[in-house]
Amino acid sequence: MSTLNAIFQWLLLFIGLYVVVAAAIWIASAMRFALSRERQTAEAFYDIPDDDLPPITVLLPAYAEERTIGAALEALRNVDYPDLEVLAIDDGSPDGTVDVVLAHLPRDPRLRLLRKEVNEGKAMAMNDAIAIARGEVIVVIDADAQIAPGALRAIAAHFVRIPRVGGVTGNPRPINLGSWLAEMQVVEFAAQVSLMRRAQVSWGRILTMSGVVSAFRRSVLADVGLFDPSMATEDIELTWRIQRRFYDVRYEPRAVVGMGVPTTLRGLIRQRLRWGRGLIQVLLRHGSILLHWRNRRHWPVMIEAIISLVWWHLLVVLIILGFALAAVDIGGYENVSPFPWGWVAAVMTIAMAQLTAGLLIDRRYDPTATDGLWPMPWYPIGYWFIVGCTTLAVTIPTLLKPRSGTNVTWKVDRSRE
Amino acid sequence: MRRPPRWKLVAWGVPAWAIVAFLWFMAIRDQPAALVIGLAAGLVALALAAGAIWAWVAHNRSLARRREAVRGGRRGAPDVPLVVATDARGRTVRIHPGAREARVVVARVEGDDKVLAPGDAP
Repeated sequence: MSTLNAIFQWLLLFIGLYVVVAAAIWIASAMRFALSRERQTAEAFYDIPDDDLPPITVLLPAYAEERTIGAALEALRNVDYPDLEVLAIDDGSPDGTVDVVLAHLPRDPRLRLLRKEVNEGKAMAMNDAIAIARGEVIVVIDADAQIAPGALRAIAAHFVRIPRVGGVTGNPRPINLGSWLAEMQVVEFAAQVSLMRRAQVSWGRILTMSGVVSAFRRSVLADVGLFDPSMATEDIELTWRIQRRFYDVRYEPRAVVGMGVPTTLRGLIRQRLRWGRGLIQVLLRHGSILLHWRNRRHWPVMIEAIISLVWWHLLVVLIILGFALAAVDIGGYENVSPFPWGWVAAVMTIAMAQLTAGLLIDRRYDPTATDGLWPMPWYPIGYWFIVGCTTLAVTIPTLLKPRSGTNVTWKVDRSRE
Repeated sequence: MRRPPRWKLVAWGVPAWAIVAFLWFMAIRDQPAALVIGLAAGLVALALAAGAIWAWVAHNRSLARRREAVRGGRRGAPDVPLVVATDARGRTVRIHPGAREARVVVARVEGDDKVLAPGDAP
């Protein structure tokens, strides 16, 4: 039992230290991005004459999205961009997705439809569409996403101004709010995802362009290859391939895109299982980055991803071990909490400091972001455990069988969310 | 964006903030040093992180400067035509004339080929 206690103490130390160090790095890096890039980037950077803007093709891959794709198409109709093509892709949907797109065709002359007779998954659908797309910049948006009118101009500026830019990702914001889970994801996207993306840009490389909204230079796709259908998260994998060829991938917080998030625990768990599996696949495929000095700008992102995966596992182990030890009355703290009060209070406070920093920085693009300060403490209390459990569930199966050998197909089922 | 009314967010948040307050109350009562140690550890970590990031960014910038001095930097985007000849399953992709301009395009699998052909627009 003393061995278990010793393990428990070491876990407390590692979990706590990681929270302190990671939060400090993320806050400091994100602040640097916010102060040096967001505040100092002149409006002139985005002010580009229409004639100089590259043609853009927006891909809208969809499977069984008849309830959501109409709003996405409406939002795209309001986009202010001179040379735009919208290519909706129906990947053999069993519902009325095609009918919704066909109904929009006469209303929007920029809209086209690629109708796939066979369902082959999102990555294959996008690759097929890229083959007939006309844009020099390819933007991918989820079929349940609603893009802001000025988002494409903000994205295009990076491609025009900086030749080495291979990809740009935008700023996704949950829109189907009202439930506790959705509010947790508002906090997560503003305070966690956006904050980390800002931090990673400061480090030189980012973990992923959001599948919800990402833009690619067409010639860069020709250089590095298209989406890999065998990966659970084709967006993360392509992001890493682009950066390994020394192209820049940028984050544009002005490119706001509303998106649907899972509102049921079942939907959230399925999403996180896919993300966890995808990240592990990418780490396995691109692990050699750590062996090459020339790839050192990628090291911080890779090392952080590996340590955070380990952290999620150990967090779950710590919680289970803590309660198990308390149950046999060893290592308990006043028979109420299995963990030291000071440790829990410090970890919670540091996590909330990080979330607060993220919410405050993101307030510039979403004035309601700071409303997330109210439910914020639930994020480390309950949400961490859910994410930790899904990460734990997916690791061993993925390590044993990294690739399925077949295309990854759609797992979205709106009717159940 | 349909945000829940603020009273609902407050109602969700109050119990959580009460838990945080309770944790600090217990921590200060049982381990008064925890507050000082936690605060000091956070500030030291933040200072170290800021220093490390400054050094890393300076390193990255010096890389870019040196590369530009030697090679002249990357002045333009790559000029690589995008040709999709096969798909991920190894099937030949055949694109019919007019598919790049058609409002509706149909993708079908014909044997070992994938065919992208103009379809009927409404």
